[in-house]
Amino acid sequence: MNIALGIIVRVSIALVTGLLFAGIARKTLARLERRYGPPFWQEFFDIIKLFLKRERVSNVFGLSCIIFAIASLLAASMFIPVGNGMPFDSPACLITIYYLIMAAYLAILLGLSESNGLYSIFSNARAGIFIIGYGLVFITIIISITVRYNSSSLIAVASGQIGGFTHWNIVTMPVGFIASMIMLHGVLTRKPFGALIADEVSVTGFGSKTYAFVRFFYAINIYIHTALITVLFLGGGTGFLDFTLKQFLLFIVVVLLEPVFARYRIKRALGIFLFMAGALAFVQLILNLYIL
Amino acid sequence: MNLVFIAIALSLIFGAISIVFLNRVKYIRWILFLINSAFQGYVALRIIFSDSPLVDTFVLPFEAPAIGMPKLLLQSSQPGVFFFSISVFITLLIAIFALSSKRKDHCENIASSWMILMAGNAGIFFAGDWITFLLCWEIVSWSAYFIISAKNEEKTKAGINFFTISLISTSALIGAIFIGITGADSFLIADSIAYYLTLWDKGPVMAILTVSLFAVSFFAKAAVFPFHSWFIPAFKQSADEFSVFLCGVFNKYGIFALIVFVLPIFTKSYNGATFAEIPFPIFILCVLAVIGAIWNAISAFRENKIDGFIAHSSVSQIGVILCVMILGRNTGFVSALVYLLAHSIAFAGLTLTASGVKIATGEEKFSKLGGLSRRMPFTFVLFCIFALSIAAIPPTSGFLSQWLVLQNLFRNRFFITSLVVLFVSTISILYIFRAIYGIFLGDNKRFSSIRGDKFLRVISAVIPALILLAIGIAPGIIIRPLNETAQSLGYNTIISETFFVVVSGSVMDFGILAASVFGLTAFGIAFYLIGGRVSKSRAAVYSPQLRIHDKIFQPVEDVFSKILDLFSIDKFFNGIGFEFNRLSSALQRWFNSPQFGIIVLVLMIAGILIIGRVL
Amino acid sequence: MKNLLIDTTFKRVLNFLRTRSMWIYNGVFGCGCAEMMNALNNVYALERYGIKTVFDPAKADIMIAGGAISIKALPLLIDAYESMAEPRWVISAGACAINGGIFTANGCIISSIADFIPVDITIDGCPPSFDVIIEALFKLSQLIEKGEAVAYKRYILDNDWYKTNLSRVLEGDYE
Repeated sequence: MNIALGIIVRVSIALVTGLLFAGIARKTLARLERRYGPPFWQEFFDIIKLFLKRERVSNVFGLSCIIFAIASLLAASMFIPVGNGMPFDSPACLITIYYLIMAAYLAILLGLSESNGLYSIFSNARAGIFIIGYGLVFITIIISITVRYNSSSLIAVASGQIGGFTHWNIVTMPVGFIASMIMLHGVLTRKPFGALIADEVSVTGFGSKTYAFVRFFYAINIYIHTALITVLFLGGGTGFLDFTLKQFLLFIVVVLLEPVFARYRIKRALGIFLFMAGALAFVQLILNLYIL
Repeated sequence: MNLVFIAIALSLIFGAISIVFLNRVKYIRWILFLINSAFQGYVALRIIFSDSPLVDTFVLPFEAPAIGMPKLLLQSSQPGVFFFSISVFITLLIAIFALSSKRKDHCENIASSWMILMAGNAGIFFAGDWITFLLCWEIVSWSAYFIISAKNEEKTKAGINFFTISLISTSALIGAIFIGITGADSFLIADSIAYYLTLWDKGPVMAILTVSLFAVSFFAKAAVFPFHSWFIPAFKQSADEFSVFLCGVFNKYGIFALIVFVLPIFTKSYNGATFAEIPFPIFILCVLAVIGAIWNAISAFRENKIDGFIAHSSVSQIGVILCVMILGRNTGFVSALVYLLAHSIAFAGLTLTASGVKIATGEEKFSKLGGLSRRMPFTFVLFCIFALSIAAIPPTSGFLSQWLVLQNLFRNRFFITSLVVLFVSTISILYIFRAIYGIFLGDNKRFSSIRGDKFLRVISAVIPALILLAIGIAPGIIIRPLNETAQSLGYNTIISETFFVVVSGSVMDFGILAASVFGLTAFGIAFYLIGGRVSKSRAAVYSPQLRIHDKIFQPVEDVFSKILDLFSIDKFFNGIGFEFNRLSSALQRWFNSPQFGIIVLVLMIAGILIIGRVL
Repeated sequence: MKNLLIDTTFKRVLNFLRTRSMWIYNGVFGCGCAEMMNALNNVYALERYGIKTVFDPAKADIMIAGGAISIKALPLLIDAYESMAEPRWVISAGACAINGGIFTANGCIISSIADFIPVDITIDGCPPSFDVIIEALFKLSQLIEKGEAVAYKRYILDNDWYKTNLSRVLEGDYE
């Protein structure tokens, strides 16, 4: 019973935090561009409105893929220790989290390919290319962390950073932190890397409820990646509020950098991902292996 | 009489009957094939569930000089039983699949050669002496050659390619066997392996020569870099049913032979150079396997046809299996066996469903397919399950394999290699997406009248899909039997209960993982339906989608193609062949010239005089 | 009949939530929509009320149909309307959409879109100016909250009448 309660709490936190962050991003971007934006709780209203509409079901496979993608991301978020709490007792293996995230991205790609948009292939191709770039950087970071802590468990990572600011990985692995911030930029669909799969063109033809699920996907995407980097580099947090504050700090840095850049072309963006973020992550791996 | 002997004899008899007598009623050949496969399945089950190992000796009724009456030995060993059961299971699935279509150009010719191949297949895994092993190895190679070049299309290059590399493989094998036979003075395999173990004390040259010959032979058979070039054309150009066999079973002969002949040489008596506690020669083999894995992953990613990406993907994962078997040291062996099982079943199923698509539509290129998810729903769902297993998506068995591989590599601190394995796995997601998108998603007017889901084809693919999901959710089912196999060869075991696995202190509960994914999916569906505000859809309208398959991943290809075009194995071998051609045509011209006779005469006289002078 | 269609109290609570996020699909059929982009851009910042433009009618709540709609374009208009998910509202903008406007005598221009899709609010003007459009949106949101913007239900109840009108037009039997 406790497990079920824990799962429900974690799912709710992921959804609410994600949607809140997305709304804050919209408002912040609007104010930075000198316009009024929607209020930061607007995402909730959008989702509720979409759920209150009567949808016509025309592609079942697209919908089931999107639901599977959300389920994978939520399952991955179960394995992240938020301030020493997890819904069930399991070692938070980074490999599992990585493969669940990749499963989610593959599923969302498949689901969005089922939309009826004429040019949706471009958006999906762009997304697929980003998934590769993101994956390569992330695996290098995973292995650097595993080398340092001699275990791929997030619990070991979190407990290895206890003891104050100087023990956090942001201080002891700064190169990896910069690589992961570039990766966070890309995976949260922020400029300069542009939309991961966020274009309106790729969700043409979906009904309202399916689109609401796609918005959920984005919210949980924000939640899980900020949570991962908080645990990996910012010490994990001693409680729920501490953890959420750190997630918010990471997210707001990414959002504040967005209006500065234009949206890069796919080749250039992939080049930056692979050869800047990837190179930095690889440098961190070599440092961890042989020097530290 | 031994069951294995009956199985071999029956296969040979059926093959002979179908070649000689069944020229007019070719359809019966596939029925004979089904009966043969079913019988071999029964044999496999009997052997698995019997307690005593089967040993059977034959004495041939003639005498050979210096040997006496040769004895043929068939004995069952744990790895042999494991590989035999996989091969028989996949052949049975293919037999069921093959009965589903009644096309005229169904290549009934291959069924007879295939039955002979199955005889050799059983012999390889149960051979106790070198004569049986070599005989069955050759039977398999020759029948495979006939099957690969049986299709009536313009290309037989695949057959010639396969034949050449088969010859290399057999020659190297014979060389290594001779070393064992002359050293141990007997034909039994066990005696030869005991002799190989003593080679390290006498100086490493003979041992390394043996290992190199074995490695060349078995890498050629298992299609590992640098001998992998036969596999891709053979896969593309042979009949659909045999493609399933190629990627499901044929790869594994080399791996079985590596496990039984090469790895035992390095267990106890090795006292030479090691690299991170792994014997150096084996480490080089592992490096080759890993290079092959990356190479083929990137090549799979550039393919535009159905069979291309399956072939490259299969070879790439064989490389990863070899890598974990060698670098995992003790617990890596069981992980490799689990991965092997999942690999065989997943690729067999994938090729079966892909063949179903090819037969139903007649198309192979992604740019011409599309929209089949609504016309062939069962095939679509099954293809997705197999494809997700190859891409290592939880909760399928592919994820179990990848998790085991990575935990073993982490435990032994091979971090760069684990980076490579993760890279291969990430690339696989892209080409799997391209395959599913290209074949099934979207909409296509050309296929609006296809009814592609035949019952037999679906049944032949449902069974492996269920097995894959079962292994992925409850890995203990398969790990506990495989622990015994590993123990019989002297390796460590992996602790595992039904739902969770422990590798060196890392615990993973696959049951909870599957439950959370499925549970949350059910929660999502419930959330969707909870408002109840869903109405019936309109009639499906054809909505065009721009499909530009060949170029959708162009930016990534540009990044990787620079690396791939720097060096190409095919160009290397082609270069050697070209130079050889030039030399031989120069010799020919010289031989045909009129001055040649005089020069030869002069050289002969000079040679005789010199030899007479020296002596 | 009208009383039966008005939303119940519970639905009015849901309607309150709906008015906080209204998505608009611009049905641009002619110059009657000239000022629609002005109304919906960032100067007037309707985004702070949750109003946003979407380009897919399946996600939209409101369709602003404006301009002179020809017989050729009429099936597109109806297709767009039917793609919208319920509850859905229509604002017909401009003189041409109400009664044909300056094209009344033209045989190719439809005289009133209210014969083909149910309309909640009509705006006059040639073209209607941006402040009128904005005022119409707020008026519509008030109607939605009160539960009186229920013309979409009429589309299902009187579907025969709408379909008859459509078939008459397409056969050329329309004035």
